[in-house]
Amino acid sequence: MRPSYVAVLLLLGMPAMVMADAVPGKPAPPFEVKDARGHVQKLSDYQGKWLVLEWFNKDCPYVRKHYGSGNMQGLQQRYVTQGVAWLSVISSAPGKQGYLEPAEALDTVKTTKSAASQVLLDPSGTMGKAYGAKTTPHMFVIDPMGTVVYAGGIDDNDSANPAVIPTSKNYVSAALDAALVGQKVVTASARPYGCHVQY
Amino acid sequence: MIPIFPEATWRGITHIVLLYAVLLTSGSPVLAQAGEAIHSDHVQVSWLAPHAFGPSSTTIGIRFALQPGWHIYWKNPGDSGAAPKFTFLADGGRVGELQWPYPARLAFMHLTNLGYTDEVIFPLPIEPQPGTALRVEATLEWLVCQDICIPEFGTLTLQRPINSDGPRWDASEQAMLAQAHRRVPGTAEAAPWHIASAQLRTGAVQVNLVPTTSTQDIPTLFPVHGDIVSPGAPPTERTSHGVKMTFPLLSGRPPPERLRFVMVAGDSAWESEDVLVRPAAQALHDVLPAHLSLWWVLGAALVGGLVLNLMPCVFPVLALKLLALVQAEQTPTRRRHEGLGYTLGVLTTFGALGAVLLALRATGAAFGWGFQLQSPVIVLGLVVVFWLMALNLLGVFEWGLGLMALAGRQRSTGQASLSSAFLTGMLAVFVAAPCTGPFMGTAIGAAATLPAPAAMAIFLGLGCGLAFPFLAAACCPTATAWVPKAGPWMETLKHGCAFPLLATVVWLLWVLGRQTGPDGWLIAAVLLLVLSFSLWLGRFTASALRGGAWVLALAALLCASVQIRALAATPSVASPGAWVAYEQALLQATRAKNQAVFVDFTAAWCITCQVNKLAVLETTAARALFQERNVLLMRGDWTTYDRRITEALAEFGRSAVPLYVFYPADGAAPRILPPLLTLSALETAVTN
Repeated sequence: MRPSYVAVLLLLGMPAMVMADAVPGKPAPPFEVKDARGHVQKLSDYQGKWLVLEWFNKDCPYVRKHYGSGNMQGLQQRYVTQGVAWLSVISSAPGKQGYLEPAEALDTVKTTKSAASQVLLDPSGTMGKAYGAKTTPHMFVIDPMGTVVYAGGIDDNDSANPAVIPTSKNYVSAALDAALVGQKVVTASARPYGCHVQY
Repeated sequence: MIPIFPEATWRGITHIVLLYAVLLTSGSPVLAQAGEAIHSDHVQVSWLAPHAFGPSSTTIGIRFALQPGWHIYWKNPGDSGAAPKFTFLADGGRVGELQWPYPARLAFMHLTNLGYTDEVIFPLPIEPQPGTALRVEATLEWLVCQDICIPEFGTLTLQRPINSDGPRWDASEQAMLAQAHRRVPGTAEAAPWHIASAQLRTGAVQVNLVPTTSTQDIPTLFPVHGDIVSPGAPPTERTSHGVKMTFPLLSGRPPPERLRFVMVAGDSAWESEDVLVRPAAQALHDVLPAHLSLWWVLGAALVGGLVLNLMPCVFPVLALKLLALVQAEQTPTRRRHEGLGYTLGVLTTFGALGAVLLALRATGAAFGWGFQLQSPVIVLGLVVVFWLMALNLLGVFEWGLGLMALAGRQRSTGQASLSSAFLTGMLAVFVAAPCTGPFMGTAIGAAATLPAPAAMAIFLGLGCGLAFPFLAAACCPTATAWVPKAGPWMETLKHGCAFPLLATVVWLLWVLGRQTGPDGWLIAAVLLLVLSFSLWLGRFTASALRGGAWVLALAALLCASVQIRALAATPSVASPGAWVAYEQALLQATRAKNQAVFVDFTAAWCITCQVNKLAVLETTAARALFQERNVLLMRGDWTTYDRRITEALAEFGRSAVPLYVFYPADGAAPRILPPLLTLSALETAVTN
């Protein structure tokens, strides 16, 4: 069936891609977010330093798995003492699970004994969407030049049972241990697991 | 240690107690029950099992009844979540592999999960061993979510006697299990759709499906592995052979070699075998990187436009351009006007053609670059235009004062020369640009897939490239130096230039003949005759004759257009000899037999294609080469609109002809040859 010629001039406008992604090997998306103390934190502030971004939701059972067992705090401690900046990011929207006011966030840091450098509050979800953060926890490791070195889940076992942590392969520590001594990161990405980010 | 429970059970219990303790202290509710059923706030888990087992294998089930609004996950949970985990211990029997019914897509904002709502029953095959009793213990962990997520744990135990007569089932439970079994994916042979191929594209995998039955309903595909492609619903398009779905690759993941899908149509599901993901075609001579950024493509467009000036396709307008250059007034400003007029004509026409192409594609029709020449009516129009131009150059008639001089007849007003240059530019693009040259092919192919503003930028870039040499020559002050002073030689040149235009008329008549058959040719020739006659009539001063001439000319034009339109497009006859018409099924079948295939995408209106045919493809050397290598020769004729050929071109990221593709015999990735063929390029492609 031959189509008829339609002499209509219309310009197609493709919808702009709202979701971006942090891809290993590519530059990390810039961000500009207030932390729990009210200071604005930018990606450019961390140029020259190793940076870990950890998406956090205090009520998510998978975040609890790592905080309750002390696994996350241990990682934070280990790498912050080596000069790595560790930022916990809360992208929960107001009213959703995990949303915290600045004072509550500082309180949570105290009660969980988190050793993160700062807690970033991203209630609009802009930073989470720029990075393509899907779950809590979702981890990103960024090198001093601003390139993403690891993006994905914290380890390879998505069970909510903390008993599996000792036998799980931790991708974040593997990436940091290799990258800090200049070696190539073997696993640059892995499936992130957890509760979905409460945008 | 109580001897009844094996060691493993103790370990399991210890884990659960530890978990219970840890999670209870952190305030999250969890269940750690053991028994035939587990009850929680949102889920009830129970067995679907007979009262007694028989001696042979049976399938039992684990049933999850969910509170409305809550869901659990499939084996690939999607963007977040976790699949339920099952660990089985059996005493007195062997437990087979748990089966997963097909899931549904559960969307949350821009994220997608794959899972189950309301109720799901997982069938579990059991093979009782000779004995009197069977005991099965299932340690479960699952994540149940609504907006928030709650991981839950539990152990299901089942203890039943083994009856020598056979299993004793509760009728309703057996019915539920049978229904659950129907939702488990079967093998791919019985599926109504078949996954024909999967191709790697930029950032995505394109899966092509063909129907195996007369079904028209598009199936739903779920990726089995959660770490390769996105779980969201893929953009789906109907093609001439079936359906194609484009699954975005998860960011940062390496391109996969194989994929598996569960296909759901109606209430049934099938699991595909491993689908090999083929890499994108390798272009031998394209210098552009695989992942094209817009700047690269724009650069390619500019260079492509420049090179187009050297391609055989522009022969029809070469004479016109030469004439325009030479005939322009000697003053630099007039020359610049000419250059500007030409450039404007080129840019406007490129832009207009590009805009119309995008609009036509938006309606869903499969048009490509060169679409204007696929219409016999337009070709007829061009025949008339070139014929009149040739007659004008030969001095057969003069245009009236009110009309613009098409072929740049010496005019005193600058305005006229500007408009004549504009028209030359327009013709240059309309007639001479439908074929692609090096770089242009990729640029146009990219333009077909990019959003409209980027695509228009590419078309205009091509126009800039095409017009640049002419503009440079017109604006350059030293160019005037080589043109000798005006004299009688200009008249001779003018007459001489009519003959290339007449050659164009002959070529266009051939194209028309290919498109509409011998009758179309006859109609066009008669039209030309009538027009020439009315031109002769118009020479007389008597107004009646002049009027009659106009009426005759217009009537003939109208009549001919209607006739041409009405002529059914005769299917392009495959050229005699070894070339067969392009056919996807035949191509796949031949490749499966490990035979090499050479595909020539061509059109009658593409002069570059014809030159390649005469200079390379139809030569004895090439034919001998093809015969020696046992290459199947296929020709995709795009002279008239053909959706299948447009789609075939799109698979290589192209939208225009010529395109030459060689499929090696060993099944490796297809190779694209350069648009201007040489025998050595052909040899390199075929023999390596």
